[in-house]
Amino acid sequence: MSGHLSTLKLHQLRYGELSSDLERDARVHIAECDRCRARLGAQEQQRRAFEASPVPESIQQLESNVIRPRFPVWGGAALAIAAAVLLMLRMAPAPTETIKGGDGVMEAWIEDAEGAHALEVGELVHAGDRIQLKFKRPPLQQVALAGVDATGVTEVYGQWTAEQEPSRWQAAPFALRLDDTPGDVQMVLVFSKTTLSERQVVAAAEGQPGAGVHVRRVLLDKE
Amino acid sequence: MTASIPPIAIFGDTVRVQAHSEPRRAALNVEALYRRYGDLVLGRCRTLLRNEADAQEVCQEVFLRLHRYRSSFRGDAAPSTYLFRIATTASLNRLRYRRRHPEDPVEDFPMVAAQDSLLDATEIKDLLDRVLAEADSGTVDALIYHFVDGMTYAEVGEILGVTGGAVRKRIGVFRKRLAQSPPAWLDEVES
Repeated sequence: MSGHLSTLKLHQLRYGELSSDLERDARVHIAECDRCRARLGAQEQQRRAFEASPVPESIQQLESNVIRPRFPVWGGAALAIAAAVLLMLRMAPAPTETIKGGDGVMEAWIEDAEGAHALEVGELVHAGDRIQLKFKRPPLQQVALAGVDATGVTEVYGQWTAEQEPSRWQAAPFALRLDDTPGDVQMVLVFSKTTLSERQVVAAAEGQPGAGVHVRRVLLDKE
Repeated sequence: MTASIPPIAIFGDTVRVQAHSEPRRAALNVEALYRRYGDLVLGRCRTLLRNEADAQEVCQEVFLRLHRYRSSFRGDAAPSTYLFRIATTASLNRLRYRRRHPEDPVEDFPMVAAQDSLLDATEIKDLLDRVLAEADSGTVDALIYHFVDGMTYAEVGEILGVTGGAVRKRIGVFRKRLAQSPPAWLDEVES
């Protein structure tokens, strides 16, 4: 081996992504190695030039072109913008299969100032609350979670392989934080035997599941 | 029933959702990722492509692609590792495209590349010329990570999802092919 730090490791050192042990070893090496010190300096110089350049329009437009998901996953700071928007959980119309909170197959859980509990029909929730779905899956192991907003725009939040058997409760591997955008929102679980493309998940969430695809949904209705 | 809402961890300028103790899916803010890691991706593209316009274009393609497939992004690797890999793949694909379309040549500007590699621009071009026409994509990747970036076999294996032994074998085959007329940089990297 060369004995030098890899290009990627130099990047990760700059980004502060190395563990404390690796960072210490890397800094010891750089202090003794002219070549790696020069390589790191080249990266830092490139970083300064990069920061002085504008973000390309094609990148800037990405976020503005995205319809904000109904449940963007935000950090704790998002709580500060929680407005007095009230959401009410109710049963959705049923293009495929509709489940309300706590019916024995699918539950929407909420974490608010009073802790975490399963939502009940008619229960009010607020922007800033965290929502997570729990469910018993059909005999299909791939699970996708999508949201459909009041304008019919669908956003896919993630897809994963279920860990538990169909008869056992399991939770979606992530929570979603409610934002303050008005309008009804459906949270949709899409079950399938094999991994679906984003387009297939969107189609299923919008009421056109393909063969062998199973859909469950919960509607959050804002007052 | 107990509460099972997992913690939300923030890394860098974006947000990663964690399931239990294991990271799963990421909610991606691609512009934030660009601001944080764009220099890594652009530098990578410059090093391999040796052409500023191509590098800028491929760099943007990397982030546009990341945005397009954001819902399938797995948060189980550091963004720097993930982006380094896809920037490498995208750049090599651009180079393969160039080889298939010699009627549309591009001009090399080796000086734009950051000097953060173990080989200089001429040596990198020599390596790519030797391997792009013959080696499979996995071997090309391994050779780039090892000779250009100075990764160990284990590090290359980790980023490619294979064992370090498999990487050693691939590179060993390449070394044998070069035995007749080994380039100077071969010994330099291995010394």
